[in-house]
Amino acid sequence: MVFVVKKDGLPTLIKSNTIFKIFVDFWSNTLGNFWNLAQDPYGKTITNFNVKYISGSGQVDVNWGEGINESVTSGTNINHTFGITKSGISIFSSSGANITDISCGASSPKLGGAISLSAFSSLTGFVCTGNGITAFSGIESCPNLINLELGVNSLTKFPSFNHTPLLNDLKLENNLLSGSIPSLDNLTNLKNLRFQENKNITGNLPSLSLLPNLESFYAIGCNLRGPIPNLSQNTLLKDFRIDSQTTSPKINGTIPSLSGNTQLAFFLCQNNQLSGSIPSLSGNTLLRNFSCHTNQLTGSIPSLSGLSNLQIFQCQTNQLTGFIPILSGLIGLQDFRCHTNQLTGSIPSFSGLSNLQVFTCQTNKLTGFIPILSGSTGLRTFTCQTNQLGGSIPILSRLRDLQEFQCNANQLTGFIPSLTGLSNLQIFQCHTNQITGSIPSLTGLSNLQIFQCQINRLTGFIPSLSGLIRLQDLRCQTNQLTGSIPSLNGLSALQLFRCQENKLTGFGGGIISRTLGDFQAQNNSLTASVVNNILAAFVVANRTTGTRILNLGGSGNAAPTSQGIIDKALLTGRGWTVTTN
Amino acid sequence: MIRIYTNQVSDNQEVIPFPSEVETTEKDWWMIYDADTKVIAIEPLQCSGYTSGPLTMVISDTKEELDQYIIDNKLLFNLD
Repeated sequence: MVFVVKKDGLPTLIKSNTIFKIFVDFWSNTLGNFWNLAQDPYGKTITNFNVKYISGSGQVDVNWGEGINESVTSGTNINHTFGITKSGISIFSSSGANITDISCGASSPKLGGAISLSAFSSLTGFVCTGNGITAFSGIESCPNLINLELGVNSLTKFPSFNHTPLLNDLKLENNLLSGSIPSLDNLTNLKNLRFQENKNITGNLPSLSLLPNLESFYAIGCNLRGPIPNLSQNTLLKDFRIDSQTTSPKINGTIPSLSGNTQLAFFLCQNNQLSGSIPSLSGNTLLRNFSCHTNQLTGSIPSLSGLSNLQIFQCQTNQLTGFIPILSGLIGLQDFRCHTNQLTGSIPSFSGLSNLQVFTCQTNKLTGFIPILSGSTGLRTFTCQTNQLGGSIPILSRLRDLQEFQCNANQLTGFIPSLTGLSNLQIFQCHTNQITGSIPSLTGLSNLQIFQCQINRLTGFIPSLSGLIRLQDLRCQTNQLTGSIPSLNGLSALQLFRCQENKLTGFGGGIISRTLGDFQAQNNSLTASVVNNILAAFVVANRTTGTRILNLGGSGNAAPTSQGIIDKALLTGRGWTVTTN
Repeated sequence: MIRIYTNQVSDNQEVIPFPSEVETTEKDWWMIYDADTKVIAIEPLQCSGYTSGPLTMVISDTKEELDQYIIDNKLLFNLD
């Protein structure tokens, strides 16, 4: 136990909880050793340490526990790197200034330890985010506390909120809190309540009915269950976020009526076991983000008309039926996802959706056509695969930001549109349709990774693949393609190339990348010399690990001869499974 | 009838060290899988030719028999 008294008479160091208690009582409100550090803080830095106080003539000092008193100006940030190893931080005033706010900033590496506010009865705000604090006490001595922020620490127990009726902001996110959320009924002034990312918080969601001023409630990343509480009394609610992290139990029941929550901008309830229907959102005109994906919701998607502030709507992976609602007029819409449901009807018009970036509706029962997309020039992702869509793929050439386009497994006819200029395109899949015409030029698609157009009725040549340095997967099998397999030279990321069941006759040569381990060209019209050349190219590539599949057999292809036979044996010896005639 | 060529020793399967120039006809259904990982390297297909390699080759008269073989042996499709 060490107790140091400086020449100004103020103790600066305590290594005993018993002494600490005596110490605080003796100095009353003029002194507070509020932070007992758990470990030697040597070399650690705390930034933006800030004390606000009310005093006509007084001075407030911070003692960093190492014989250094640092005078602080009210409301001014200071930083401190610990040198001499000590164990606690004190704040004191020589003239009894009332300390109203303490903000500890963040420490790096985290300081840890325990906080007590018992010496600061005038405190209205305490912020100690990102410091690894393991325990917190003394809140019952701070009846005027309005703002309490202890996020990103290591707290395991909830403080009691029975003596802090003025709390506006209670932020305890990213801790190690466990057990049920205590009663919040006394916190009638509460505006912002954040418990998110405390995976050991269990029990039911708390009642919020006595919190008429509540504006935000975050409980994502917890282990809560039970129904979503009635929100009809929370007329000022702007932001509500919950989900479930475990497989069972989860938050269940229905989504409550939101008709009274006219200020609502964010409502996120994804990854739960919610059932019933999505409530009417017609009164939530300020809504910006509504996410209810990955639940067991039934019924139809409600009308979104009039929600001119809506940016994100995600209801994918439920059991929704009915139509996709009209989206025209939702000028702010950026992200709409309704995939993996049982939706019928057609994809609505994209007219006016000039800010749309993501639209996913795959794995439904949609019919009709893919709408005109040209007006949504910021579109990055469009996926409508595994539906019953007809018609043709719309013009894509204006979608310069397009990264992913998937329309496979539908009943599409017509041509593949020009992809020229879509330099951001990474994934294009239109396989398993009834598409005719030729494969468009892929020149300039330097970000293309996956191109799949197999199982269609395509004719013409496979285009040049030159410059597709990120291409990993190209499938064009089961079409009616003619001409040659293009040169694979320079395709340094290519892993899979399938062109079987076409009418291909030649091979463009070039050096095959060692990354290519799945090459299937069976059932074409390859001549013996072509088969020999392909075998030779794979011998040169010298791939000896990973997937090694090479199929040049089937009807139509010739058998290898002379060196080709030797090369086949060489490849087999390197672990390849090779089929030839 | 399923014919199996494998590099793994098994009491109830015909065993050869490697499928070496195993002949298939246009009517045969066959597949290739890695007996160690259970991952299917070549999904069921009809393709004539002569196949050599270190993996397990399964040949059948019908695709349905191969599908059942996949189920019975808990084989895994490569999700690429």
